[in-house]
Amino acid sequence: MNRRLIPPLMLVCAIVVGLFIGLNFTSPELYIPQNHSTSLYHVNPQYSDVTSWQSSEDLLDIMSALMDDTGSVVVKIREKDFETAEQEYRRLVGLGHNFDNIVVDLELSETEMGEFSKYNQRNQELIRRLLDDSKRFEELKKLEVRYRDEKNPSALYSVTYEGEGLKTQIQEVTRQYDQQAPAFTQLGQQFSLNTTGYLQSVSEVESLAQEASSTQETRKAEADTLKKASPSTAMPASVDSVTLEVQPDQATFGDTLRLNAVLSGRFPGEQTVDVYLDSQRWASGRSDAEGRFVYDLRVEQIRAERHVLYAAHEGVYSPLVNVTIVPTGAALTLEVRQEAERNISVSGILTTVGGLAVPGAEVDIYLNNIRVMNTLTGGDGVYRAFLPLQPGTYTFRSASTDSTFPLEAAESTPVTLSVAGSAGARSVITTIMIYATFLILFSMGAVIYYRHQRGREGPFELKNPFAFLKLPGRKETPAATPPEPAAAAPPPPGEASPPPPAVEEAAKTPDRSRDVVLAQYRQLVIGRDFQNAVQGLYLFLRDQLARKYRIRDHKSFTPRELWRLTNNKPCFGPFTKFIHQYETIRYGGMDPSPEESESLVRWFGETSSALESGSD
Amino acid sequence: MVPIRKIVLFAIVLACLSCIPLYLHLTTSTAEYSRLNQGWNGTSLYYGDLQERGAVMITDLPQILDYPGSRLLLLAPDRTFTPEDLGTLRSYLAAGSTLVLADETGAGNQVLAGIGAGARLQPGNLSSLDFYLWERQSGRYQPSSVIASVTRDDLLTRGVEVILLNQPAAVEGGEVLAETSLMSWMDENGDRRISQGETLGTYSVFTRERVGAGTVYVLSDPSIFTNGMVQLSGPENNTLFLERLADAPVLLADQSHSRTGDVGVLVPLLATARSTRVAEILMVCMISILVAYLFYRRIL
Repeated sequence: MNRRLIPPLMLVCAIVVGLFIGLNFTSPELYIPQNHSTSLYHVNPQYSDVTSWQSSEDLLDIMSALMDDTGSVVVKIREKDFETAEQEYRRLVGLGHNFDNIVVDLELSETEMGEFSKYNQRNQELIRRLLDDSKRFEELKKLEVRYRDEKNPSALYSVTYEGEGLKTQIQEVTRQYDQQAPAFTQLGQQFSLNTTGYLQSVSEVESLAQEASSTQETRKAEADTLKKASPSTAMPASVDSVTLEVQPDQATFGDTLRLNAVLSGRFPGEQTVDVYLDSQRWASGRSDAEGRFVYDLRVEQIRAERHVLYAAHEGVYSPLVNVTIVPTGAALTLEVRQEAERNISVSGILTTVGGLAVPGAEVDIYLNNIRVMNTLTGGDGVYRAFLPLQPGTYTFRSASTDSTFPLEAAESTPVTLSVAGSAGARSVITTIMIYATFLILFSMGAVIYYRHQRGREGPFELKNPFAFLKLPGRKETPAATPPEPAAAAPPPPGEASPPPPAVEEAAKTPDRSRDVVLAQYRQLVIGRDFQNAVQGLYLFLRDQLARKYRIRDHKSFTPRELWRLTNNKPCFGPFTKFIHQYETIRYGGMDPSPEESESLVRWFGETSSALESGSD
Repeated sequence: MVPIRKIVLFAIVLACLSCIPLYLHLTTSTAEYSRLNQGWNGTSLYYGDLQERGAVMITDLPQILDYPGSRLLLLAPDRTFTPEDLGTLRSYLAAGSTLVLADETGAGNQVLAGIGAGARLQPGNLSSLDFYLWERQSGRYQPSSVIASVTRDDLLTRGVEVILLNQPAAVEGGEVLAETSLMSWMDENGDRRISQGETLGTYSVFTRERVGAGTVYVLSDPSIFTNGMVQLSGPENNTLFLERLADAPVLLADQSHSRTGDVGVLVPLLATARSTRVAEILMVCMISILVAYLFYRRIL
């Protein structure tokens, strides 16, 4: 290979390596276990954490308990052991939360387990209502006994009316409980769960509803009996009766129910009228001078089911009015925006399909199909939440399944967002800066190296070969005139050799510098410093050889190596003799005779002249 | 002169040191399941154990006919079996031998069909909620690290309660010896979740079947033999099961059609070179010549 190609090749290699290193400069981990932790056939267990958790066993145990224990809660409700029922219910809710967490942890929200979780949540919600209604229903029983003993038909009527509302609620809960029972049971059977307890709870709830109905019928009958038995005290003095008319009898979200209550009696005007919805006071106001009370009830947070309404004034109750609220379709929008570093704004609006905003409804926010947050819509139906997220790509989704509103479940269109934290942005800038700095330094180094190399390969200047002799008292004389060749006779032993003259200026031309070198040689010979004298000659020839044949690193060559290089060259003959004599004096320690010294000078001259000549 | 030589000497020492990993690299393999692969996905540990037990490495399939009544481990087959090969296996089984086939790619179905077995491998990403690995970095669970329960007592499953699998397939047919829990599914889209169209159910992972006078076991995951799995610590590792598989009076390990026999090109050459006296002498001579040349060139 052409030696001239080596430097550019090495430069190319260096640039390639530099680029490669530069690309990985900010993340220099070329090999880390996770880069090699999976293959087509397996994952590396050594790079994973081992768990001893038997997931399916745990899950099945919890699912089994959730289905089975429902029965015991309902049994306790039916037995009127509300304290135990409450405890059992709380335990059930805790278990349900555990199950929900596992479902979230294992990303099972969209699976049968997720479905089970939804059924369970709905189940627990119904049991909660059943527990509350039954508890209140039982309290009414005690009040009923008291009012009967007190022979207070007015109070007894209030109990009866409230009981009527509760009965309707219990029946509604029963209907819904029954409604989801087949699907929930089937799901349980799919996982080979024991559904006996759950099925028992379904029949228990039905019995409970029948009992409530039966109790309520009896209560009504007793109230009527008491009313007939004591007509004089049954009615208050001011109002004889209250009527209630509701229009329409079926409504949906956003509709307005007009409630017309009319008081009649001796002093019907400007009386307080209460309107009850499902036994709970919903509105209150004063009748006009003619005893009329009009109330517009806007359907918003009212469950989609049958409800009982009645109006009352100081123990005088209107007949019960049934109203059915039907669900309507809903629409949910989603907008995701990065507000700041690690701060993602998630917002949207919940409306009906008709465009009515839904205020106060719960909205669940899902991140990569995992529910991460729950928020409420504002007065304008707008919901907003902020999520602190690491840089990465996420899929957002929101859903509204708030059963306290007469709305069908709504879900937004998924939105995918690449979250780029400013840390990430900084990282890119830093990477570019570091890489640029690296390239600049690399280029500077390359330029310096190149210039250095060029300098080394530049015009070769002969230097003073005797410069290594730093003798005390040495004086450098600029532009020294070549001294006349002196007699080569060595001085007597013991005499100190004079310091050699400076030759830098004289070394500007080869001929002139050669004369200077020879003059110095002779002076050293006179001083009997033969070894340094011959070395000066040798170094002069070495530099000449290097210049002539462009030998790089010629200083690392031994005399023999240099001699080998002159093989077949014009200077080979005299240089061979010179080197032989040089080694004898320099390494052999032999003092040359005057003849030998002159021979050496002659061979030196012949070699030098051959090197100065144009031929190779 | 002296500093230059020191640099050269240093370079030579460095080059020699560099040769150590090069030698290790050339004498080992990174191929999946290779018995010379010392990485996590190799089977060097298990095969080391087999060799200590005196298992016979089968490099030419007809060799198995020399060992009637023995047990042949055929792990991760990936080469086509010729009709002659299948005939050999049938003859082997007819002699009352046992074949243990471990495969997850479905390549073993050719063998099963060829020997007249009813079991078939059902390749796929079998996953389960009964898993044993959590990904360390993301914290996500790895449902493909399936825990299967032993359902039937057998010579190969005696005392074993569970088998830990690593991205297994499933087996259809045969007597089920081990299966996954009900909460398992084929993760078709690889999202580690039970997506739409992926149904939960129990899958067989280890079966037994009588074929003629012989017995065929099918395991749907050869990953259990890899170093990563063998080194797995904990009370529920596969140690006992692996021991049961290797516990036979005469044990054969196929290298002719198995990925465990993947050793690359250089490894056999080096192995031959190391085992041949002439090659050894040649190598010594070459090194001597090189050293002499370095001295001659005054590099050393």
